[in-house]
Amino acid sequence: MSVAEEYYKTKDSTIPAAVQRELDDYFTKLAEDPLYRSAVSSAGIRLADVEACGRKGITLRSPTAGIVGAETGILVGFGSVVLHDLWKQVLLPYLKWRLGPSALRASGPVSRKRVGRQAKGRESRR
Amino acid sequence: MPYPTHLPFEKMKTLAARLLYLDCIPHVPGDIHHPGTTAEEVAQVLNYLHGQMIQFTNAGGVSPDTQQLDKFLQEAAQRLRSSMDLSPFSLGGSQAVRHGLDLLHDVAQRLSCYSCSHPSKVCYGHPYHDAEVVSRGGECIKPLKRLFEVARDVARLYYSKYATNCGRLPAVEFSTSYDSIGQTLTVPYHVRGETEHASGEGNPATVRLYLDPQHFDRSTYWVVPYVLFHECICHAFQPMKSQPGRTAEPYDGFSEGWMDWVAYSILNRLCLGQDPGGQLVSQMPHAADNAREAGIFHGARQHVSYPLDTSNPEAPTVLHGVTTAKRFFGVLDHLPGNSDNNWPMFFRISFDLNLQHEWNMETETFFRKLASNLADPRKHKQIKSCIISFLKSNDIRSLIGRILALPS
Repeated sequence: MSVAEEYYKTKDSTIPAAVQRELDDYFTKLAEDPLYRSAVSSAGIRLADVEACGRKGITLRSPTAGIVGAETGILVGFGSVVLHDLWKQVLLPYLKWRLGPSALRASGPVSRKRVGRQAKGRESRR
Repeated sequence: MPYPTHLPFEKMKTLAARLLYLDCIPHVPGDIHHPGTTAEEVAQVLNYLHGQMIQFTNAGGVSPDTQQLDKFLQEAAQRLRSSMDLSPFSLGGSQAVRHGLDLLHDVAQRLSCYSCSHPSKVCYGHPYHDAEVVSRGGECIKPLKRLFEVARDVARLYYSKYATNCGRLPAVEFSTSYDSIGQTLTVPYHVRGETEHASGEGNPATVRLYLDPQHFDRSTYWVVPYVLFHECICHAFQPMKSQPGRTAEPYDGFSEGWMDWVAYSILNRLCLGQDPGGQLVSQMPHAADNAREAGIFHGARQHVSYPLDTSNPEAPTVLHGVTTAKRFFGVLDHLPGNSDNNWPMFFRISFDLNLQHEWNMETETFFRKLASNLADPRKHKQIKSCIISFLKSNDIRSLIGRILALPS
């Protein structure tokens, strides 16, 4: 279950697959490359917590038409608060660097869900 | 402060290969003379070569991060040359482009990632690591860095020479970013620019070129100086841009129109070898092409069509700013101390306005009022007297104040 979920409009229909690929690639590099690891630590995020959750803690899915209409988008779910922090501070800038700033655009009303105190509470019970 | 970011590694490889090709291979069949070969034959060969180039320079998916950029370029150059050996064209046609291919091959062979930056580091796909290497060295995109340096140096030279008191201008750094840029205007350029100001006085501005290397073609390459001149002359030294929460748009007619005409005019004058900075034109190997493409892009940015073109929503604002600038330039005719040349005074006033620390409601009203008064030739005399007063006081605020005091 996700403790947080964010919705992004995507530039085109190829972006969700590209995000999937880039995330896989990022986590592989994170496991191998000290510079990637130090970037996470520099962002104030505990690397051990990220590794405990792993790549599978971030899920990507297509939004249902009922929520956002027919536009192209992607819903990103986070299995823990630390992954949500990683996304905001490291992964999203990384993805925008890789795919271009217009590839992912945060959307309004459904962009954040169950984030904050409630989400933290849920994680602490895990 | 971290180094400015640059393109992801595989996109940098593609861009470097494109730059190498565009600089080495001639493009106009008529420019290539080979005994017994017609221009048509040469055109066919160039067309074929272009197709091969697109195939061999695309690093995405075929060149892993473990392959160094120099090795990728050398391989691409070798494949390009071999493809010509196997091509179905006449010996004469192939020979006609042989010189360009040999040059490309030689340049690629000489390039070494190990001698690019100091201390010696080699790009491998990491965003920060590679950004440092490219910022320190960046041999692979040297043609673009050189164009940026010309734009930055010209901007600095002009502001220092003409602005009343430009003070200490901030450093300007160069950055490249990837974006899949479609044709937003009616012109086929896959490049755009952006200037970012770090908060705090004296912090460097960063001019960022957004590129899509897979679509980086000759006309995009040639228009790059215009984009860089726009960023360096219009935005790099604007103190107001560093203010947080800058969202108001009306005065962008000044930034995006008036100042764009200034930037475009300076680039044109540079390409003609006029004015300070003229000697820098030797750093621009395609100056005539740069000037031509700049004219097309500059024109397209202010092309207002009816019904309004949604892909070019800024056009009315840009057009308004350019028109106002041109009218103001005309008003400078026959002013005392102006001799036959309006440019020095026009540059001075433009830069003084652009260096204003505050663009607020008052200055927005100033620009609107100036534009409306310039639109009426009967009011030009009053504007002239405001300018004469400014020339005595050397205070741009006095010009703004006097224009604001004009009747609507």
